[in-house]
Amino acid sequence: MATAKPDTQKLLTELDDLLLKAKANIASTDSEEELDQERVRYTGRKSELTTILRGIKDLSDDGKKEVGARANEVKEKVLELVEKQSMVLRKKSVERASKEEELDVTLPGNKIPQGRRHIISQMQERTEEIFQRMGFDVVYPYEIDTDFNNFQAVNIPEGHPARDSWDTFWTEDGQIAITHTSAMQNRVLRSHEPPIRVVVPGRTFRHEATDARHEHTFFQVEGVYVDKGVTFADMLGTLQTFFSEFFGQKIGIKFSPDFFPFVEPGGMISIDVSGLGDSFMEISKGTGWLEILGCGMIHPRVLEMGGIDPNVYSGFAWGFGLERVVMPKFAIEDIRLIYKGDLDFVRQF
Amino acid sequence: MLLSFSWLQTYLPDLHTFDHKTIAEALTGSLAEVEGITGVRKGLKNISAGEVISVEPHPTHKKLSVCAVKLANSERTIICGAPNVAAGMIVAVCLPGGSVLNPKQPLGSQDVFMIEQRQIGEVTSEGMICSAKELGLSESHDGILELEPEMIPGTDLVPMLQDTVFEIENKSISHRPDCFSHRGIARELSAILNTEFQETPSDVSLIPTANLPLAVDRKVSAELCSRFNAVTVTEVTVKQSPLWLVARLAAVGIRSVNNVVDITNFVMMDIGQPLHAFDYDKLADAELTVRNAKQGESIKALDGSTYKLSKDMVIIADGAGKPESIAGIMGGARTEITEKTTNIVLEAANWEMYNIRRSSRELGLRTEASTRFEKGQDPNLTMDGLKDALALVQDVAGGELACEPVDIYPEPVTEHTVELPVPMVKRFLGIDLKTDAVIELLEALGLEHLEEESSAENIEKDSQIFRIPTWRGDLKIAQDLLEEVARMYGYDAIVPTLPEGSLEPVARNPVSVVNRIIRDSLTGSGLDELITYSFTGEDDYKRIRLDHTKALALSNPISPDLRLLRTTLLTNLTAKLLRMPSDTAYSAFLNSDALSRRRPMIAVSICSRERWPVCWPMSRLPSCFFDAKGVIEVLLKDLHIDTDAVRFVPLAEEPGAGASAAFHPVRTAVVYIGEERLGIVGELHPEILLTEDYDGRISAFELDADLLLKHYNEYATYTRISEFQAVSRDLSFWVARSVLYTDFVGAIHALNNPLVKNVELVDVFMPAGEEKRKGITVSITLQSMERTLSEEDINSAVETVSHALKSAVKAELRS
Repeated sequence: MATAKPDTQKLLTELDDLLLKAKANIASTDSEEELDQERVRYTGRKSELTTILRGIKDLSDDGKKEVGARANEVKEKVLELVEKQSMVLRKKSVERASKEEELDVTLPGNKIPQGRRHIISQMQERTEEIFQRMGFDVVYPYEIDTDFNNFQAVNIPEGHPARDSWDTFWTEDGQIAITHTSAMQNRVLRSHEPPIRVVVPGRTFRHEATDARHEHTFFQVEGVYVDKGVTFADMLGTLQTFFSEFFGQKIGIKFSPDFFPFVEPGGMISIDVSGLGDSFMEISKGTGWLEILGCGMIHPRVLEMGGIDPNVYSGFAWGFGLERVVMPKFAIEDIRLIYKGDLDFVRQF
Repeated sequence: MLLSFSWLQTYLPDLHTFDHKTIAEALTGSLAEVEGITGVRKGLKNISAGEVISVEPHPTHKKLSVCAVKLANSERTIICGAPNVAAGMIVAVCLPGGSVLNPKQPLGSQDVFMIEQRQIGEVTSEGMICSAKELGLSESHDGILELEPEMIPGTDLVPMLQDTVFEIENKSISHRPDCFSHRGIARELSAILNTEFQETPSDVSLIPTANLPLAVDRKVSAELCSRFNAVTVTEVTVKQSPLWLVARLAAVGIRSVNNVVDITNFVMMDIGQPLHAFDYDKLADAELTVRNAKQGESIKALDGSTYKLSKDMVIIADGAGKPESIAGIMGGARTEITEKTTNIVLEAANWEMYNIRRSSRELGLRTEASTRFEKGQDPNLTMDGLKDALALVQDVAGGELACEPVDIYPEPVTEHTVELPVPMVKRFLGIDLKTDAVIELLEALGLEHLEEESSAENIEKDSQIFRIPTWRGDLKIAQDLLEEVARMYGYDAIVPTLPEGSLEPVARNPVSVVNRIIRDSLTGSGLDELITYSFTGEDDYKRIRLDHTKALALSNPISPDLRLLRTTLLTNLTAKLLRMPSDTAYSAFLNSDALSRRRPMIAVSICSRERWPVCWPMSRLPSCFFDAKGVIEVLLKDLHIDTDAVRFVPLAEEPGAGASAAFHPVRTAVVYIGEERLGIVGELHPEILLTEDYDGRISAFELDADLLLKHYNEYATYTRISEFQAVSRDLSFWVARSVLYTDFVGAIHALNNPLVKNVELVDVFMPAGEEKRKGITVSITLQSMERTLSEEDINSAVETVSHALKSAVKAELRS
């Protein structure tokens, strides 16, 4: 029978050999996977270390103690080496990435799907936002409305020659595709108590042949301001302020008389576009003045029909076509592009 | 409307001291925009009247004649090629060094032809005799123009012929009936430019010196014809008008006919009263009846066309009942004034504006006369017009007044007054003006200030009363006077101010807010916003298998394919997409009103390409339906709408819902919020894609934006987060093919197990060969608010879930 001592020694030697071997193999690993493999080989459940430790049961108590302790040492040493090597590998990996993972950063970025808001929506929102900052409410019109709202309530009785100024679309049941956002004026006056400050942006329709400058469908912005002591001069100031905000610079205005049945005095306001670029100068035929909206002091008949006492309150109203401002602002050459639904157009804004 | 400068000058003697630009600016700034200023016959130079003394044929040139023409102090030899030149004629001569308008160019061209001494054969021609075209008066160039015999040889004709014309758009003065004449405009200019206005009232005698009786019977109400004037004139010589008259009319675009007709047009352009002249001898029984036309009656009018009349139209008939004139619009051809006419009736009347407008529209006939009557003329103008016409006729055509003027004027219009409280000038216009200044501004326009009445006891303090002349019927209320004050004061002089008001914030329109969120959400999901017409056509409906008959139709569409008002946005939207080449990825939305129903809608259309990045798990499911549904889910989240209330119900269970005919029968869902129908989402019906030859698939949805607004919440709700770690388990089950995911996942949620935090679909697996069942893999996230979950907790939860699924949908756990 063999004595305890020589077996113990044998195991101890095997442990030392294992450690040497482990050291070498660990040092030669090139990746975390390999390293992990080595770790498992030397310290895992089915590892070489475990194999060696199987022999521990035949040893004397002292032998067991000594081998056991040495085995633990070896295991810890291996794990320490693994840890260290892991650090080394990590460092190597970082260095490699820093040098070799070169990208041509001038290549285009991935296309992230993004839709564009239509330019009219953008300008509408901008307009609403400016007026809201000035204290105006926003109300939307009904695209189909009655003759009463579109004409009579704004002082254009049936048969009146002024109706010729608007080329009207009639529905078969006798309604109108609104010719102007003024069709909302009566409702606005009726539903609000003064002070009334409301803008009405909406779609309007005129029975007109279309060409690069004319459409049968377009977008208007109406406004109404009613309070005690509101003056004509206030109207000029309010509209000048709006346009200055819209264009981001001070805009000069001038008023020329014209006739609209729903305002008295009434007329057109032109804006000084000489500082707004070539497109504006072109559309103003070189004069530098662009007729932009119709406006005036609300006719007392209109106030009455809206339930407002003209002896106590006064007000002004205006309406302008949004396309008329938007087209020269972006040098859009044809108004029909706005409703065409062409992606090349929509995606530019 | 065209305005002749020299015509205006007859009322404004100092007009020449203002340059044309100033005049145009004055009118534009205070009355109506001047659209253009045109020089008329400016190319004429050295044109005089001459008398042809003799005409001899040219010795060598057969077609020419040699004329001796007498000027003021000299006699010239002039060669003429015209066939109609004769001794005794008064003609227009252009002398060497002068110029005429080139007859080869169109009328109105500024191109001139220089006149020099010319040698033809052995004869030297010292000038040229002019045709009407060379003088720029008409197209006539077959012969030379013969002038009136009263014209004195040597008279310089250039001032009579040359002019400057201002053009104003009629629309801008449609509220100023008094401005459709030179006198009316002259009155305005007098006030605006502060220059003298002069007018000599007519002193023509109204006592007849001959006898041609005329009976007039007015059978219409005073409302339709408020005044009717007529006179007869006998022994009239109808011939070519004198040069000054021809030139005046030509400047404002009216062709000369003969002297009597020209005079009626002249008076209309001069003071704004249209007149008509009848050939007296052609009127049966020397009678005029003013009556409504009989339905179906017709008349051949002066323009050569025959018009069918209706019973609302007013006509003037003769004693035999024949219509001889369409009142206020155009006279009849049968009684027109010709060179053979010797006795005439001059008629000036006032016609009701709405009736004239209607009749004019119905006949499709717009004339200078109807344009004026449509605006509503002053009845006190008719007699002025008649007197002016009578005086001119006697002067130019001879003749004698042959009856007492007929004046049927039962309800004479009287002047009314308007009270203007002067403080309103500041309060309403924002202008600081003293009372005296206000009075001065208004008096310059012809208003009469009534001083005594203004200081009466019962008048509001500082109110001024003004008497309004009958030709300013448009001034009815104080605001009308305020407009006069403003425009006379000068709009440029008004300083803009900003109104003052309270700081109270105005309520935000929730529609505006929600629209913005919708746009943000949809553009963020990668869709482009389209804007299209509200008008659509039958074809657009048919293309997507929808019924168009419920759509509201226009009675006057701009074109047949834009006849309907859309009831859904899908027609426009899919029309665009179906036309896109199918190799481009394209998604779009419309956010607008569906007319007819007055419901704001949102429609989205997506075409199926691998457009979405792979990070979207749903892209592995073979339909772009899920892209569309994904967009809806994001939208609902952006609107903070509680998704528990939202259900997607397969279309098969809801047949006939709305626009469902456009959609794929088994790839479409009707969307509900609670019990309310929100809209529909699905792939387009395969028939549509086949018919349109579209290579690919299109999905779309349409939602009721009003309903979204109703359920919109401004803020999201927060639920507390657990500090303990969540654990996920992937579970795979076999279920019958027909089991809907909503029932599957519903069974899990029905447990209300507090540990089940989230259930996420991982995959739906439909292997070939397995027709009856499919595999669903879900990832269940478990988490507790109170503790870290143990293995037992997890297994127990998984057990419960499997059990619930088994009993609810017979799901078998896949190993």
